Amino acid sequence: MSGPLSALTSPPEVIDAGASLADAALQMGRRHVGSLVVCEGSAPVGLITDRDVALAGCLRAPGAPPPRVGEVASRPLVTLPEHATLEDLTALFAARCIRRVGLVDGRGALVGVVSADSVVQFLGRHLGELARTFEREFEVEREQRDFQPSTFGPE
Amino acid sequence: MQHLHNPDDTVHVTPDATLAEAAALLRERGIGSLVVTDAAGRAVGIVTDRDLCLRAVAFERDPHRARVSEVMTPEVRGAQVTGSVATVDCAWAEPMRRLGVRRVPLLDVEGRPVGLFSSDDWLRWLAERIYEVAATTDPARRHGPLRPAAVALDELTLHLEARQLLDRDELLEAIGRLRKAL
Repeated sequence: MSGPLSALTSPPEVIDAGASLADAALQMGRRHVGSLVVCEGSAPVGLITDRDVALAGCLRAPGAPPPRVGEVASRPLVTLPEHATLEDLTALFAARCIRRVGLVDGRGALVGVVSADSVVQFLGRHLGELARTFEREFEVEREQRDFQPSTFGPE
Repeated sequence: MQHLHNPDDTVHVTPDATLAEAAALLRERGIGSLVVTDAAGRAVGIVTDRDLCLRAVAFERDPHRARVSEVMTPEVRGAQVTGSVATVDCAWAEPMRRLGVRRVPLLDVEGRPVGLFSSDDWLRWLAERIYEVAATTDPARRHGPLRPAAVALDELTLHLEARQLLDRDELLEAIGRLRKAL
């Protein structure tokens, strides 16, 4: 994919709706992710998070078998077109109060998942760049004055 | 720091509680983690929804028999707080980064939890501060035709505060409303 969000997008980690919660938990641990896209056949139908697995797995009645992944997942999977912008993404996060969105191509096929964590990391790098720009401004001024101290300003 | 986290969100659980009891607390209170405390009220660990997922459900532990002590992260070194801690100290940042965890309990000198600080709290705090600083770059507010009036109101506010005038609160509130509208 090549849209504006491509740098923030991870390949989707998927699990079958019929899988056990233990399978989902093991896959999350192995892949170091907090959620999996739930598929029926090749169609993405929902999302399951580590919290969904924890609560569904630990809150079942004594002796009851744990539910399957498909019974616990949030449906449907919330998606955006792969050419959506960062503004589209964060607006959708805020409107739906969700932290992960699937990106789909023109035919509706899932091409990736973008999370709120990756947006925070991206914005953090931006903020760092902005701070370095401010630092550089002072450096440039000092260089232009042949390293003479300023007679005014915040130094 | 006090307004950075909500003390009501800090829920304790004992190490011998079952996983089902811990999960019920997480769901009822709408939170992601519990501070595990001993009989003296000292923090001995932390247990999160992710711990329940990766250390309990993954291994098909019976949630009605397995105990919190089996899946918690023990000896979480919290950001110790004594009295008032300025937010710029970022006392929570070092243990979070070092341990790679999203939540640290805030402990008093006795090691008792007085709060829980999460990466979500941190993000909200940063976003609010950035929003407020960014508001100062609004050209209409910085350089617009009403700027002199805004400056005059700021000066009046300082004057009233310095003189400790009667009905000060009402006046200040009225000025605040005006100032915000500019």
